[in-house]
Amino acid sequence: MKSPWARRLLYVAVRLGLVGVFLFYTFPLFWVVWTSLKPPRLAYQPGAWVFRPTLQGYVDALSAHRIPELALNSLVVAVVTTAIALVLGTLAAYALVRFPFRFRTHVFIFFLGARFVPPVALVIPAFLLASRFGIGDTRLVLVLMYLVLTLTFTVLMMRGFLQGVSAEHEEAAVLDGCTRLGAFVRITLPMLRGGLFATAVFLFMYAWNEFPYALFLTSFRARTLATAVEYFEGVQGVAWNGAMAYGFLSMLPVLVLALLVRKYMIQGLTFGITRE
Amino acid sequence: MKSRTRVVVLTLMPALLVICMVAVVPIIFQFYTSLHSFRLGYPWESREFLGLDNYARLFARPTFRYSFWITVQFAFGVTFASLVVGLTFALLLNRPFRFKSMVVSSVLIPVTISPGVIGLIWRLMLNTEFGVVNYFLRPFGMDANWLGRDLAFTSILLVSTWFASSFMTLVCLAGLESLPSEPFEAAVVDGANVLQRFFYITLPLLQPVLFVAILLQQVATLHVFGIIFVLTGGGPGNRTNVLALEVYRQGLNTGNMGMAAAVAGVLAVLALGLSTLLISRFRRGLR
Repeated sequence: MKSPWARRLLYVAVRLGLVGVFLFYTFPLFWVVWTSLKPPRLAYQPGAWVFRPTLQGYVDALSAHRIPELALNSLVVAVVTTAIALVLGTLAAYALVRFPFRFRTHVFIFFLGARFVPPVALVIPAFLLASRFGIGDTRLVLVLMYLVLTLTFTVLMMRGFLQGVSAEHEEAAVLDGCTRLGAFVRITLPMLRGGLFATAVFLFMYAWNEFPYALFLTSFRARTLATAVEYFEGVQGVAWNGAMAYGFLSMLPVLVLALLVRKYMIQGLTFGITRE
Repeated sequence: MKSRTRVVVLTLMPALLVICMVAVVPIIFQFYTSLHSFRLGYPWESREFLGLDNYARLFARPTFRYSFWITVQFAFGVTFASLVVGLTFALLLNRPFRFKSMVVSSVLIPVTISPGVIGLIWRLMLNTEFGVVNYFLRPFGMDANWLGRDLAFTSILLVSTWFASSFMTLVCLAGLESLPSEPFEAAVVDGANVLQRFFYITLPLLQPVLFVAILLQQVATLHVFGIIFVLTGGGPGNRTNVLALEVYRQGLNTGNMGMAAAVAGVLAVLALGLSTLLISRFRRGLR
């Protein structure tokens, strides 16, 4: 048996390790908030631990670079993307789970495969096609390109959730004279609320934070909040308190959402890996 | 048409059509563009057919071969480092303790931040003169020029690992929590120590989970763009210019769309090679 001292030491080491994990992930977030509250001059002094906090950084960030306008773009694009992907993806997943048609595996592999195309590989043709069809620098082109990942992700997630719901009630409703789709919408869909919600959180988060497509495909009108990073590089370098205020504002909605629905988030991240 | 067939077509077609429009058509068009010489700002009709010349020219360039090589290094480096970090953190977290939900929540932080903002945050923290990392290291005489020539690659690796380890930790933790407890109890009875239990029970049982996580992470690392774009912009010089950034440099900086498409093609093939491996594995799990 281990001596009480070794046991004690292990206990302390594990606790310290856990504190380490916590600091590893939270310190950068703390530093963002901390720097954003500093007066501009002190933002360049990491050792300035005592100062009078000011909201000047937030005022600068909000007034200087059309930030509210960009946030609206992000919001519209994220909401529309989430809605479309959720509806079309769930329907496709329904077909994949409930009907054993020919090529079913092939269709599934097709959806799976589209997830692994690097966004940067699609960005050049998307740029050329968008300017050809006159939809460059619009919210529409962003929604379209975001569907590559969100739609396939939804199919994958909802397929898993649907497999966990039996078809019995649905079949009974069909026998009672309900149409197939009517039975799905009325009987099965309400049972999938949790899964739908978990998926929606993910889709929203992806669209809100997406970087390469937004950078390549928009220049002014449809710029999103995530790609406003560039604007904070002035001639004399970055105004760090304003830049960090922007950083915090841009992550706040998703961070709050993620922490509120932590269980769903983790479920979404690890889905399909630990089960299959 | 049978009603079942109609339902399948009605429910499946919209998603399939959309994916064809936003993924398949651009991929074909990307390949087509990569076979041509086409510069931004000129009419589309001015393009010239080059065959595979763009690809040949790319691989003839030492700078491109360098980009290719560091992309592979980056993908393997981040995957390995995040696996080690993630597994360690998950082992620490896999026990009941008082502030567990708070610590697990903190692990979620990196995945909720936009890649560009992650790059911005670390650019401040890693700054040589006023970065907080050097501020803490200076008393130990270890302050360094993190974004300079020698360490820039290490820095993008560290920051990407910070980001990727979040996913790895959560996956490993979910995997550990789903393991059966009997083998461990039996091992304790037989007198196995902590290390023996880890190497002979935990690791083998966790293997299928780790395998999928590693391959997913490999592919995801090839997608990394925003973090590096903001943190180093591919620099200094060419030092952190992974393929994803080379697409940007060729496409939007020099306007050489044909070349940019060829770089994107190489990147896509690299990702395809890795994901084929993943999917063949996944498929076996489906049966």
